[in-house]
Amino acid sequence: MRGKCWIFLGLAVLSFGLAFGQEFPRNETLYISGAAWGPPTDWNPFITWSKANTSGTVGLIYEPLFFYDPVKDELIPWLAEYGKWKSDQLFEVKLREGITWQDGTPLTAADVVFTYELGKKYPAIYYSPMWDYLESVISVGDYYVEFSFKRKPLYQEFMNNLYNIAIVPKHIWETRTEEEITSGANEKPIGSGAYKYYAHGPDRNVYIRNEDWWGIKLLGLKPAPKYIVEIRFATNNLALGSLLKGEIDLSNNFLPGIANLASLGYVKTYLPKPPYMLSANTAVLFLNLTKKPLNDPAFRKALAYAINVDAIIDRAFAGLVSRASPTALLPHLSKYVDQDVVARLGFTYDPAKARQILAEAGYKDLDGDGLVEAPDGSKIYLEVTCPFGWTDWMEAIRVISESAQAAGINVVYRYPDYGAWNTALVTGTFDMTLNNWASLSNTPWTVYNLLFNHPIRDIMGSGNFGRYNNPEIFALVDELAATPPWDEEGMKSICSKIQEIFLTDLPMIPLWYNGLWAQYVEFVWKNFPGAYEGRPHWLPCTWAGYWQMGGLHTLCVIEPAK
Amino acid sequence: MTRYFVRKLTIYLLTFFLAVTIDWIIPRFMPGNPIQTMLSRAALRAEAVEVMRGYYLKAFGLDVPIWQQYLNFWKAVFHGDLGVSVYLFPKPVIKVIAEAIPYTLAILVPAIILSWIAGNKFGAFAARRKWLDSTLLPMGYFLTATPYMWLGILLAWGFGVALGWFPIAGGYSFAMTPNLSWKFFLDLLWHWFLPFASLFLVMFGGWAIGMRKYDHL
Repeated sequence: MRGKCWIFLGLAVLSFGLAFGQEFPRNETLYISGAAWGPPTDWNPFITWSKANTSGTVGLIYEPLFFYDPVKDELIPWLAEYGKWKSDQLFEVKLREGITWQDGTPLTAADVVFTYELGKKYPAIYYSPMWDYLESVISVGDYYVEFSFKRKPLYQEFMNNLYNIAIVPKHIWETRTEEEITSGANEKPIGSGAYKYYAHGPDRNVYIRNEDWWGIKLLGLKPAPKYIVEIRFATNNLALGSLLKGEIDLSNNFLPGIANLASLGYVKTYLPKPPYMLSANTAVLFLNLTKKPLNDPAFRKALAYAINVDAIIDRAFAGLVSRASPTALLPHLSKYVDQDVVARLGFTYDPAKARQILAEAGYKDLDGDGLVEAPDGSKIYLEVTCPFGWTDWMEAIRVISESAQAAGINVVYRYPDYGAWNTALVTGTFDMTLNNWASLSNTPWTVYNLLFNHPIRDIMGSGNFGRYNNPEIFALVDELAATPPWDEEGMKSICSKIQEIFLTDLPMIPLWYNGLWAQYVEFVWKNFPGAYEGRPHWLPCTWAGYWQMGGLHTLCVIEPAK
Repeated sequence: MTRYFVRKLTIYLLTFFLAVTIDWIIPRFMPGNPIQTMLSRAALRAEAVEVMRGYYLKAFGLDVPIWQQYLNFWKAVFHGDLGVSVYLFPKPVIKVIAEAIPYTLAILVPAIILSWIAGNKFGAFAARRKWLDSTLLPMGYFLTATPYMWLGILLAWGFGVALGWFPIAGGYSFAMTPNLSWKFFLDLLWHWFLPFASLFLVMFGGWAIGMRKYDHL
């Protein structure tokens, strides 16, 4: 009988597919968690939606031309030595000399041209819309790339893409088919970055330091951990338990109890005081403007005054987030907030004011049940939704429903399955729902492109889910996209106009900033970033898209604790 | 005898047919559109969305009429071709299963076999001793009525969190990659023990009280 067990266990061992391996020494390994929500499936930098599960694909393995530092709001030349506008329709990039791919081949201008031209060849590449205004991307010698434009480019989009488009090696990708490029798994990726793919399992990704990384010599940076093991825990409780035991070093999970643990000194966070976390994106309540009475600006305004955001922060997030600016802009972009507009048109939690607005607009409680009816006498029934299992948001919409009810507005909460929620969101069959799909970025355009995405189509997959149709604001968002980044005054003036219309009409309601969840223990590694004691300022974040916004720099500033 | 087998076989075939059909129906008729979900996070423009939708429809075999999809599904079932995973795109489903099945078998098979042997032996042994019959055997009733996953949580809490004897996550140490060595094997065994125990104990309880009943007949 024992023999049988041995056979099965032996089979189990063999079937992992890797014949040999070794144990990672604890003092050379950084254990992280919080990025992946599913098993790793692909290492293809052109499939954007699955990168959470292999977040190191861009930033650790493949690298963009620039990195971006949100704390200082500046682009960091990376593969590029510099980039400069030679005229308003010609951008020149000079590559660093001496960069090699992980297989030893030199990285040259031809690789950059190849990567950008994939967007011209294949509409399914996410940055193909750039070719509406890109005339050509050509290499001049091995190290110069010239981007020329047919007309004034969408500068904001172009600059944003500079630190998001990962450059791939031409000699490996040029023989692949369109389907392989746009939806292939790209196993065993060869990039130019500081880490190489090492191994993966359903609950983990392992990266190994690239000892020949160009940045060691050309940037003077060297990541401290030899191995990075990224773990996907089945529940956040497991992540918390492992963190407190020191089994993981850095957690980017949302862990509601952190405020207590941080104040007692068990874990460290970026900010030493509440809310402990930096802000990562804005949670916005989208309203379906094709439905009554959500098509009435007065009703929407009343709703905004009715929602108790502080209760959401307290109950759903245990104090780890802060109230959002009514303009939806993140704190690091606050220079683009027109404070005068906010003072005149902004909103706060004020149920009495909500009732007053409702009464003035003709919403009255006719049947005495404490809930108002529409001016035409019809009953109001609205559902606020979020996907089932998103516990913080589930609590948040309970608060939204309760506080709306308290102000006399009949809002009930529902938690559909993610698939059903998503379909209702993009096809516009929901009433009210939460969304936060504009991630931290270098430009106010990103969030306004989400809120006022246009034109209105049957399926609104990338924003404006409530179908707010206002050509005036659409034109302003386009104008913002086409404003050069050096014209800060121009950007401010357009943002001010957008905010004026936005807060007058209030087609959606920005509520709070979701946090850049990050908590760490310093048993094995120390000097994690934070806003105190002369610590480094980088964002300690391992989510997809954040390795190039501070994640990799974090690896370069931490030190062995012993 | 023949009639018995014909009847049994008919029931099995019918069950198989219904199971496969239901399996086909559920994902196709439940709310939500997985392709839409995949596309909506990619932030593509309208033309690109159509191109990608074309890929995915083809990849999942959804580009043909629904009756043909159903027939294709049967064809694929008999060829062992389960298509491409939606959740783990672009991985073939067969590979997803192949990667998961060693873990399932390594826990289930020893739990079934060992609980049968140990449960029966213990049941027979206990039934002959009055003091065991009245003290330990009732535990069997308790164990067999316990849901696996609940016992699993209790074991993980007790032996993993409170006592710290066993790990609470992972199939093997996060510090290792699979390899043929004693060290890895012992590590695997260490991670294997609690999940195994949760099944073993429940099944053990069932066999023990079952054997006791027969022993008294």
